[in-house]
Amino acid sequence: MIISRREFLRTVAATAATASLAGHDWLAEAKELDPSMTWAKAPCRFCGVGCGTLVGVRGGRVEAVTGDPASSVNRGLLCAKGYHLPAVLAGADRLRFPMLREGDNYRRLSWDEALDLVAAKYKEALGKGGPESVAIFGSGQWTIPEGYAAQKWFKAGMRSNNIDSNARLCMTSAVQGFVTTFGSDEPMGCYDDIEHADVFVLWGNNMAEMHPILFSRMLARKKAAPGTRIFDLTTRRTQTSQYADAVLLMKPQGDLAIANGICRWLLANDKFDKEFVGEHCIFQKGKTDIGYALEDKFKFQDAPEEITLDAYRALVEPYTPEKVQELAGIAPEDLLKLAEAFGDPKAHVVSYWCMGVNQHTRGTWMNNLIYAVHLLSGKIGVPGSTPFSLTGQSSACGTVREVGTSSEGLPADRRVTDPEHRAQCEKLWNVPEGTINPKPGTHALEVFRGLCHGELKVVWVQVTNPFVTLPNMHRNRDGKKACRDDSFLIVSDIYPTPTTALADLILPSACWVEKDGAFGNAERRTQQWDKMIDGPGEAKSDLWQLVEVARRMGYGALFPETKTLAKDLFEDYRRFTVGIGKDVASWEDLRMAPGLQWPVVDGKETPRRYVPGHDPYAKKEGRIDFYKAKKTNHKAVIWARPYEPPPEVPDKDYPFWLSTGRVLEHWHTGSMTRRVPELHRAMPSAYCEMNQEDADELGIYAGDNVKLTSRRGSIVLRVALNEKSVPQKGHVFVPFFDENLLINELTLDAMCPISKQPDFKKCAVKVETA
Amino acid sequence: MTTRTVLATLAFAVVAFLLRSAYTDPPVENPPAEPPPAAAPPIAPPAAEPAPVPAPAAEPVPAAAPAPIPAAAPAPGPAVRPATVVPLRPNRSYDGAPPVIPHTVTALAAEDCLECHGDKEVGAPRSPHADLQRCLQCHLPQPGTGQFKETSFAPSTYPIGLRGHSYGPWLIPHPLTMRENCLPCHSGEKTSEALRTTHPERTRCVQCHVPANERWPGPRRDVQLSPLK
Ligand code: SF4
Repeated sequence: MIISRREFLRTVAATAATASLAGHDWLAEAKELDPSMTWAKAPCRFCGVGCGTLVGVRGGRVEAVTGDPASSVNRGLLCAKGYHLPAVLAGADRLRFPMLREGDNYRRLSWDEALDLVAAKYKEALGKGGPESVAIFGSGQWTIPEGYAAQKWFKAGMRSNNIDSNARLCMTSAVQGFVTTFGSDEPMGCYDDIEHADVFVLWGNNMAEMHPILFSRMLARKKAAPGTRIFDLTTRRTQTSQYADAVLLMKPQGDLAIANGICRWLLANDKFDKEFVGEHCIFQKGKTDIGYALEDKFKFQDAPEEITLDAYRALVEPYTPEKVQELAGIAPEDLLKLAEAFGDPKAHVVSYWCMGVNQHTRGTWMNNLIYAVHLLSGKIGVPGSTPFSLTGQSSACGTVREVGTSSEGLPADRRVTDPEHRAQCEKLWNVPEGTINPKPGTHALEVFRGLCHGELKVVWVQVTNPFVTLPNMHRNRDGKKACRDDSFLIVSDIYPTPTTALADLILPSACWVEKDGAFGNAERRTQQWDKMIDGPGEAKSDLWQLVEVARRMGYGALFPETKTLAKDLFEDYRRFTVGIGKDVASWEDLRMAPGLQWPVVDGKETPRRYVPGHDPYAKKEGRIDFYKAKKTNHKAVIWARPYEPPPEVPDKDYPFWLSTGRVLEHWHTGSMTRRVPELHRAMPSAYCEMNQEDADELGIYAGDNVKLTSRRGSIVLRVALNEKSVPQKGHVFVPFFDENLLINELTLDAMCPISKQPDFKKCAVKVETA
Repeated sequence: MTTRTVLATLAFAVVAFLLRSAYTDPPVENPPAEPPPAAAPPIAPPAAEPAPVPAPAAEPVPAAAPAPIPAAAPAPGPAVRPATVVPLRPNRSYDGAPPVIPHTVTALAAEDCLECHGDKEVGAPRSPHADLQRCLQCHLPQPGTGQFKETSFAPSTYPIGLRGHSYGPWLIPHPLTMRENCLPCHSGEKTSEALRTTHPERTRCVQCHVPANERWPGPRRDVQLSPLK
């Protein structure tokens, strides 16, 4: 039916006359159907990409979500997890009331009873065992005010440094990499470098599934600028590999050799950026043969030593293409292609990495080495050239790393071990000199080993599910099962999980837009949101829970009464950041913006840190000013870090490599996303990916069950052949989201001795038909 | 014919079959604001559909038909629009969520999605954002069944089938984010007749058709409003 213009005009004229006669006021109905769907901004609840969302709320419920068109991160697009946020809040089994364990049953408590009990337990433990006997285990999904409140309560109140978080399992190698190289945590580049890059190098990073929005921006860049190349360094063919121009299948731990091989090639072929290196870098080496931190109470202290360029040259000289091939399994010509990309003075190169590099027994070293490659080649501080350490969790950067909620951290790059830092914090917190304990507390695995051994009497877990995510679960969980009466475990969560199942007290939490909050994403972008709806039942924010307990213990002076708790604590925290190049924006400025990248000075954000003209803290002249590297006179450190083998390699009895990881459809342990029918049906349960050749040899068909066994545990899983990803021969991969199929009963709890971050990517297993 | 074409054709046949069954399943939730007409026309392509397609009833006239209708004017009223959209709902978490994939896909061949869902009209729903290349990032196949735990999520609905007044242009019943290009869904032989525009040659859709709610989020950044070609 084609209407002519004349007819159209006639219709329009007629409509005015007939509107009332039609008997139905459609416009009124439109308003009625959507009477109060209000849209407000919030960052996505899930990953460290930090997409901006607009949340549609009607009748006190979140009913819809769209990507925020104004957000420069995602520009209106979300991934499957982000789009399913509304249903994440609405599982029928949301925790609604505080519940106390009594034998095998739970008794409902009022909030008053529950908070008094928590306060009494902490007080009792402090009295008997001192600050060493209490702990809190938080999360990279804590909001900034939440992490800050826990930090202040523990370090300025109870004088305990036993505060750590799940980011220990995820980001500490990255932190150590930054601190040892640049003197300050967090990336210098930004996501907008994607649109300027010619080459992307992905170091063990399946971005298509784990950082989907950034991956789609990379693909858009490839489409807009043909010739843009993606190098995928990986131990299995993933969804990312499908789109890569070169897939470099490597042996586990081979990344150390590859990075060293590139450094050697740049020097040997005189392709390194001499001017940049001369002006802005120094060389250092540290201890070698540093172990794997498997022992209880393992201690390690690196011994940095400055070396000359020639000494450095000699240290990387062994990493010839042939040697790299032997250690990493990649062909010399592939290494050459990659090295040439770095050696090309015209190419803009961005490196991305996340868990493949961080969950690594040499994670700190691997971070150092990627920086070494970028520093030697001068691929840093220019739009389109940057080493970019991606984050896993929504606020691993904003909360854990910036607020410093780790056993050794204090806000904004400060450390408990530094007397000057302690004095600054004591002054800002208005507590007596000498309040802050100078001895670092227990890190994540020590928390749970301590809980199992009964050294820790009270542990509070918030916004995380450690009894699914800890490695070597039998060692780090079963002790708690056995010594239930000896210790008191408090768990704040929104759904029942394997962790709440072991809790002595369960506290129901508010989630995401059920509270005020702010997150900080991987590109230093702080994003704030306002509370939009109430949580179900009596669910309350983790912030309120923490502050109420602290007040009941007598730390009210640290947390004055207020109606705007989140905002006040954020502003309290902000004082630590201003003037030192980590300046976060004010709460009110953040309310008006989709997000702002620190340092924010005079209302202006800083997309590229250390770069003159971009960063107000950098000197005006020169290519870059690493002004946070005070100890090394504004110079970044190029570290000599050798290849060292992984602690457990396949042998006759356990002939396969096991790697673990996440999936696109589920957020970490799936406690939220599995409750969304669309996401659950897309990814219903864990599986074991293996190579077709191995399956043929073992007589296994797709869909069969196999039994995987490591020296620590065993599990039966469905075999996936040629589904999402394809491992190399001799490798298997299992995702960890499934609480009914806990792959972490098999993983090894070996750690990076510097960062204390475990390696979930490498251990030896055997595969049998089941 | 290349192998790829054969595969694409085969895939299309399967897709068309599955789509049809998915789309013609009775809606489980969200009764529309107006009761739908008895026979909702399927959105499946007539080309791959040997069975007779129930034609939309002759332009329905509202029960209390207004008297002075100008002779050549289009009939007023809600017609079939609400009904045609309702069956799409079981495919998504809420109105506005990305629809799930109602047929099997091999993740390893993701780039093949656009063979059927891209620019070319083959009968499968065309993407309103074909500039994006990784479909499986948002649209998920559903190999599993059932639920992990009960949910109490009650999806929202858009106010579909709305005009400012009986003869006014249809209001856009959805936000424009991710739907910047109108024509893939609203033009072409193989789209649902009820959704099809009568005037695809007019290139500025939003000049006359305005979103039903001015507070809805707008188009994606850096993306032109429809049509794209
Ligand atoms: S999960 Fe990550 S990529 Fe997906 S929408 Fe949320 S922030 Fe963006």
